[in-house]
Amino acid sequence: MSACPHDFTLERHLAGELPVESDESKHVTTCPLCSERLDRMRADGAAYMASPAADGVRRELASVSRRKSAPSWQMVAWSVAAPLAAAAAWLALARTRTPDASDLTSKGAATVQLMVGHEGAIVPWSGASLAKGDRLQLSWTSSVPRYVAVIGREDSGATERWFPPDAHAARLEAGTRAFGDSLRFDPPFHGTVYVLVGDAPFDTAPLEAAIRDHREPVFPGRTSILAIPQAP
Amino acid sequence: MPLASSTELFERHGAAVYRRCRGMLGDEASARDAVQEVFLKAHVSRDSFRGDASPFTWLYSIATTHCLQQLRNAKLRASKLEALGREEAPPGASPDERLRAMSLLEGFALDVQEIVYLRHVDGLDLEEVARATRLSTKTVSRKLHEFAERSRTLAAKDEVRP
Repeated sequence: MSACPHDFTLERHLAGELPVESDESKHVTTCPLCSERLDRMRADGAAYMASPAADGVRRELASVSRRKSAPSWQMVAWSVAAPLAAAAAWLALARTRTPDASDLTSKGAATVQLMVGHEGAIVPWSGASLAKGDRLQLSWTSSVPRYVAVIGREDSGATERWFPPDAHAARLEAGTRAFGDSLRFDPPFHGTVYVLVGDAPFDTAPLEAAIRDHREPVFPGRTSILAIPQAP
Repeated sequence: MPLASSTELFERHGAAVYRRCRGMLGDEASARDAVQEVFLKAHVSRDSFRGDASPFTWLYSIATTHCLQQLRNAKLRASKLEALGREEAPPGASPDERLRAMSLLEGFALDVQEIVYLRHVDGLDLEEVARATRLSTKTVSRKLHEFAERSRTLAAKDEVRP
C-alpha cells in the first residue's frame, strides 16, 4: 500500500493489532509521515494518561470494580434515589408479546423504571413531558438475570438504541440497579421508549428497524412501551 | 479470550479512547469527560463483550457511539460541523461528503450513524468499517446503501417543502 492509513489503522498498530506481515504494517513502520503521526499520538496519549483526568478515571474504575452493584458515578448518584424509587410505583412490563408468558412469569417478575434527573433531584418519571436539561436513566429490578435492550423513538422519527452499546441485548443480573447511560437530550426527548426484555440473548437490529418503521418489534420476549409527551 | 479488568483496559487503551473522543468531539474537556463515561459504560456492559473482536475494537466502537450521542448536543454539533469545514479531510473522504454525512446523521439509528461516520467522516474503506464495527462488509454496505437512499428521500422532501 502507498497511501498513508487512517487514524484507526494507526491506533490498531499502537494497540499491537496490525499483523506484522500486512501491507499496512510494513507501510506504517517505514513511512516517515506515519512515524511522525505515531509520535504525536503517543505524546498526546501519554500526556492524557499522566493527567489528573486519567487519575480520576482510575479512581472511578477502582471504585466501581469494588462495588459491582453500583457501576458508575452516574449510577451512584441514581442509586441514592433507589429507596424513593422502591416506594414509587414501578412501571410493570405491561405489554406481553411472548407466546409463553406464564413461563416468564414463573421465573420472576421484571420491572423497569424511568428516572428523571431535574435540577439536582432524581425522581421517578411522572408521565409528564421533560424539561430542558433533564436527564433520563433507566433502573432495573428482577429476581432473575434477563437480557435487555432499550430503544428510543423520537416523535420526529429518529430512532436510537439507548442500551446496550452493542446491537445485542445485554444480560442484566438479578437485583436492582441503574443501567445504561444517564441520557441528556437537547432539545428534551419526546417520543416513545421501548424496553425489550427476554430470557435469552437477542439481536436488536431488526427490532430497531421495526420500531423505526412503526412496526411491532416481534421477538421471543416482552416489550414495555413508555410514551413521553412533548412539552406544551 | 477473557476480558481484562476495567482498570487494565483503561491502562492499555485509555490513550486510544482519549484520542478518539478528542478527535470526534474536538473539545478537550468534553473528551476527558467522554473517556470516563466510555470506560464506565464498558464496565457495565462487560457481559456484552463476545470476544469476536479485540478489546481495543470493542472500546473504539463504544467510544464512537458515545461521542455520536454527545454530538446530539446542539453546541457540540455546530462546533463539529465548523471543524469539519476547516480541517483537511482524511484520505477516502471529501470535505463536502463529510459535512453532508455529519449534517444528516441525526435522524438515523446509532449503529447506522456509527457506520456512516466511520465511512464518510473518518474515510475508512468498507473493510475497515466492518472491522471497526464487527459487522460483515455486506451488512456495512447494506446499511450505507439504506442511509444513502433515505438521505435522498429526505433531501427530496426538503426540496418540495414550501
